[in-house]
Amino acid sequence: METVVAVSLGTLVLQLGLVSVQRTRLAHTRIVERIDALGSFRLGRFVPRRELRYALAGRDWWVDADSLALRAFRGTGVVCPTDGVSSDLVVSFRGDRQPDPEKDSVLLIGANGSASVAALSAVGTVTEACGIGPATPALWRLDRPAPSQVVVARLFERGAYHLSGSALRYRRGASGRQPLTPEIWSMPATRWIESVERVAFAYVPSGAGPRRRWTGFLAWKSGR
Amino acid sequence: MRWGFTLIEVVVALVVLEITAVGVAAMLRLASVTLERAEQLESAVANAEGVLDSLKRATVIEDGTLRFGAGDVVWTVSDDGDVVIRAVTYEGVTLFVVRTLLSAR
Repeated sequence: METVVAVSLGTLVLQLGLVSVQRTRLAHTRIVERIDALGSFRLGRFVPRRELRYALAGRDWWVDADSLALRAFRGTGVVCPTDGVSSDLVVSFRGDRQPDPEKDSVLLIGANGSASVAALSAVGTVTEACGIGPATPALWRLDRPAPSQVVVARLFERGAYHLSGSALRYRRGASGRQPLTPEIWSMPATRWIESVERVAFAYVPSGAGPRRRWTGFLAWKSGR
Repeated sequence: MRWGFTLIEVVVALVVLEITAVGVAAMLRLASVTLERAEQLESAVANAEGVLDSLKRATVIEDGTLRFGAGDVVWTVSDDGDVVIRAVTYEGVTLFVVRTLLSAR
């Protein structure tokens, strides 16, 4: 009799334990997936919005299918006054990262408000520049002579955000698409939503129900 | 003397196991509920940002509502002309209330 009771109880305990472990693992997996999706959504919402905040649609960015191509602002160089026209500029640079000649271009703004674009050919160091505050002095060599009276050089990076391969990806210059989020998004439900006036986004985690469709506003296509 | 567990010992072990299992389940439930709230909040913020961007461009601001996945983003013009944005779930829980710097006057 004792043996029967012991075996029955043992089986019950084992069964309960296995079921508990299985359910706990399943619940844990789902929670981790949801946390991943929530963090990824926050990143996918915040980063492109920040990039487009001061950019102009059509000139600085445009949407093409799964791509959001842009010239992303990366910093500003205050140009030190020079005599005559030169392709070398001494600047006091302040920005998100150091300039990279392989990827960056420069918008040159003159004292009279004129603007022209040049590619960055090389970056050198100088010991002293003319800027005020915590800026980095640098020598920028452009692919063409800068117009005279240039006062500010704004640094831009050519890149594109992609909603592809179940992730938000970023391609800088001509390099490959690097994932910014885990590959958790359902395609093609996750996409940029383009209308005449604006661009929005929809993020849908794989295997999620209709309530897990996250939408939001990205940018206006017309001027403010 | 016989080696083994008595029935009482087995029952006590089962009770302890049950309490542990219930505790773990309760923690997971709490995590899930907290996550649900975080998801609602994130979604509401994303949509409220869109509302705010729209209101900044509007020449005339009137009360309105935007329905999103987890509830409604409601904006109202207060008596003193300020625009207030409120996010409410379908269950009626207020997620946040923001008094903006926009003025309808």
